[in-house]
Amino acid sequence: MTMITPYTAVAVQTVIRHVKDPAWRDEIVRENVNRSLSLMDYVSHRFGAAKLFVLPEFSLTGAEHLRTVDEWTKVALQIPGPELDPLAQFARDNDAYVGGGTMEYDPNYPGRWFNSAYLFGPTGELLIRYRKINGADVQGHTTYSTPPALYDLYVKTEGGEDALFPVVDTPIGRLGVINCYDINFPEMVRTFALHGAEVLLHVTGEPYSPHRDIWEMSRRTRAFENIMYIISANHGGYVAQIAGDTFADAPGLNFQQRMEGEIAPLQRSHGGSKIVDFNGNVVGQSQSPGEALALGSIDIEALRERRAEINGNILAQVRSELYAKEYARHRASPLNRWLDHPIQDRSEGSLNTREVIERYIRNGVYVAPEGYEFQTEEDESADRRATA
Amino acid sequence: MAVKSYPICCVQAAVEVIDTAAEKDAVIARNLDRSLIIAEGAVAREGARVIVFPEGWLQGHNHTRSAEDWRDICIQIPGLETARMGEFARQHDVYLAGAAFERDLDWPDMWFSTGFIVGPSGSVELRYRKIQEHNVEGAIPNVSPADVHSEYVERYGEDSLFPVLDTRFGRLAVMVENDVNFFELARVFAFHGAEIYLHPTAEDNGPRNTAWDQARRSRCYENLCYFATANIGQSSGAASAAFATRGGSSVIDYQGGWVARIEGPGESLVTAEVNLERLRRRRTETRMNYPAQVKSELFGKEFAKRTMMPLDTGPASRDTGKAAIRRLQDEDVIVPP
Repeated sequence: MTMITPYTAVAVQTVIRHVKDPAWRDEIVRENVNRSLSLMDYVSHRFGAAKLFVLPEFSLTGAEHLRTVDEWTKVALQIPGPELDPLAQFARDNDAYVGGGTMEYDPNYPGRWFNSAYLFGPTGELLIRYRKINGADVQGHTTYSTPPALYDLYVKTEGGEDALFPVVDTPIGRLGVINCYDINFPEMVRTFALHGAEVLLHVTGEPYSPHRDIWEMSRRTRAFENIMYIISANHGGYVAQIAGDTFADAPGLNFQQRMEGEIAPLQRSHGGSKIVDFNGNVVGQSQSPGEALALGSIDIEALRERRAEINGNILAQVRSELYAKEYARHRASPLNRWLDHPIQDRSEGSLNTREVIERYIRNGVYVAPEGYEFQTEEDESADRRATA
Repeated sequence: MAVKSYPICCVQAAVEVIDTAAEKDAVIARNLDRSLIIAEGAVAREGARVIVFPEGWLQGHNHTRSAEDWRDICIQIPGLETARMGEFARQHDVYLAGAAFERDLDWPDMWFSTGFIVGPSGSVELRYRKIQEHNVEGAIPNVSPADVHSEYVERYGEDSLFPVLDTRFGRLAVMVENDVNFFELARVFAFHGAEIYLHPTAEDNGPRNTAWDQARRSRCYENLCYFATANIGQSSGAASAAFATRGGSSVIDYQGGWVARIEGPGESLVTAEVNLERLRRRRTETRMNYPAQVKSELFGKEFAKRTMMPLDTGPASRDTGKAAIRRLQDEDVIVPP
């Protein structure tokens, strides 16, 4: 095994042009790609060569939450695909790795779309295609499918269960990708660790909200408890399309005209892209929203040495068999919830969670607060398609 | 009828360490009297209803103890000490939790770090033996139920591993010290209905302080639960640095925020509100309801595919942890340096 010398990783915090009108998709995607490439070029001019670049979640199209599934299948990109080629080319030209998030359509899954991530390697080859596992299916804000929602079909189509958790072994360490909300499920990052991941790219899109400080904590806890680097790239901004190639930050627009694009504030993302080391310490970060670059050094040998020590080595201490049993016999969010009928309406995701909450109350996992009124029937409809 | 909100107290005890086994009973009696009089203050002044003591607060840590010494300083649970606590709990109508080094006389070769709750009934109402024990690092020669899992389950039953106590102050679970770093354990307790995690601990100063604090807060946020952590405030003993432990006893809410926290070491206590009704409301919201959203079936499958530290490794030795690392390297899960 050859030594891996420390290298620079970059979380590229872009300001995204949002595709509101599908007619302008190609132009806007190209603009987002080009601006991302400029920022990545700037890194080598200003800081010298970097090995690993991470772009935010859905950073090429934005996320139109109210768009129909049918329309999303047309707006979303394919991975790989012509829109992403310039990013693959950059990886080839710079002997680097480039990862990021994009909404994705795959003709193998008609009537569905995914919130996905890609990673290109120095040959320009696609190394990873990851589809977000936790999100719309439990939150109810949009309509992308998650692999667990169609688990049996997905595993069959992709040739195995490992397809959900792709990890690639490279000359700069073992890399994996997760997407946004995934970070709050410790099981996700643990599973990637069990698949060998040493560096986890976290493509994300986090607006300001009461939860954000806590997500910062999640990032650091995940890195610590898995002895893993986490590179988290968030949006620096999210600019609405008003009409044609005019965006909400164009000079001269009055307030009313801005509102025609989207009511969200221009600076709705909190930025804060960062690199967290395997002790859970932040080693590089952007302190603000807006376009920014967060650079940090990744030392794979130091990580491997840490993983070879027993003191505080959580990975080697987990009594996994004990917990696996408990997880297996417990029924939280089911697999195959949308196996037969792709999710159509964003309310279905929250209904999915409502069903589990009410089952929990009925089974005594949760205690209902005073005056709680049930919204689902006791026939446990959520379990109809559960395989457990 | 559940109480809607109530004060919970963490006693950051000053511990007299048992240095020779002959002093055991006298030292334990002094430690217990001292902590109970402090707890009584929290009841009198703040109306505390649940009170948490640190891990090992009756016996203290002394690194020069031999394996035999460790066994000799163990107590029984239930036993004399918990009976004394039971009188207090009955008198004040409160729950008391802590963790002590314990030996079961029916299985005398084993000893555990054992969390327990004594209730207003005067009895031990919950007994939990620490699972994620430091013995795998070679630090302490005790046993985790996981080390002797098959026999343990045969003796005590499967349900004894993850006990949750249903009270009018919420559903209480105990996790001990290092347990807090293992999200699987906290999640399993949530699956078993836990709402308030009582966390007797003994945390030294060290490079991973911040990470432990973050882990504690993450456990709360990802399980929508409260944490009440009581750390040792100071130790006096022949081999103890007085302020080796870093204090920081705290109450954390279901958003992962500190409700109250002692900023440093030293003998102290902190009392803060647990709002049980609000926690239960929060758990009925669908957004970011992690215990309900987690894909348990998926992760049950994934975790079953890869053994990290196996069960039934037998009574502890330093090699258990090292062997696990070597095996994970052999299986190519982790790469050797």
